[in-house]
Amino acid sequence: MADANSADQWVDEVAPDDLDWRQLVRRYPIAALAVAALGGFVLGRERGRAIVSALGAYAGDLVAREVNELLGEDVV
Amino acid sequence: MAEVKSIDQAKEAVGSAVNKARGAVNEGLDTARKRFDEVADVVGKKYGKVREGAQQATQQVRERVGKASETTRKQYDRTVENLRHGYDKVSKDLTQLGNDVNTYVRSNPAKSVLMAAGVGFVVGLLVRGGNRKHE
Repeated sequence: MADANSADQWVDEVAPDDLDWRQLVRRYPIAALAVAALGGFVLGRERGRAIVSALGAYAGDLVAREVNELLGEDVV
Repeated sequence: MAEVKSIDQAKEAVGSAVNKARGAVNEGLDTARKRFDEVADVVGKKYGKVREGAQQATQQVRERVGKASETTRKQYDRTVENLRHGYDKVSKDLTQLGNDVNTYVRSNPAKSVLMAAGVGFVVGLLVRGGNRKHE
């Protein structure tokens, strides 16, 4: 799992600019966890397969690119 | 003169017979009274024994009920004490867990939120998959 700094940066990028999410999470930790889990649940339920497929394709593409770079030609 | 004499003799004979009969009746009454007293004594002793036995049985039943009641009360108290102890322990543990979670989330807000979202995502994915299998 990503470390705390990269996780902070990633959430900073995803969250709206005018939302002080750190302050919200520190003030209401349990509620923040519940909202995040609920959001993840809805996302996984509605778009889970599509997201997993996209992540799988992206990972496969990365691996293929690395292999091609290592071999110096388009093998995969 | 001879007639008077015979009448006196007859009177004496009758009086003697009456006295004998009275004595026999009195003797019979005494015997009957003694027998009745003996029977009454025997019945009284047996009744006394029965009454004593009933009292002892009642006393034993009372003691056993008292012991059973005491045992039940001790068991109840012990169970209540155990339940209270368990509840206090669980309550304390949950409070400690809540405090730990709060501390961790405040220290690592992004990591905590992402982990919660990831867990929710996986659960949602599994629930969706389970529902599709049923459809």
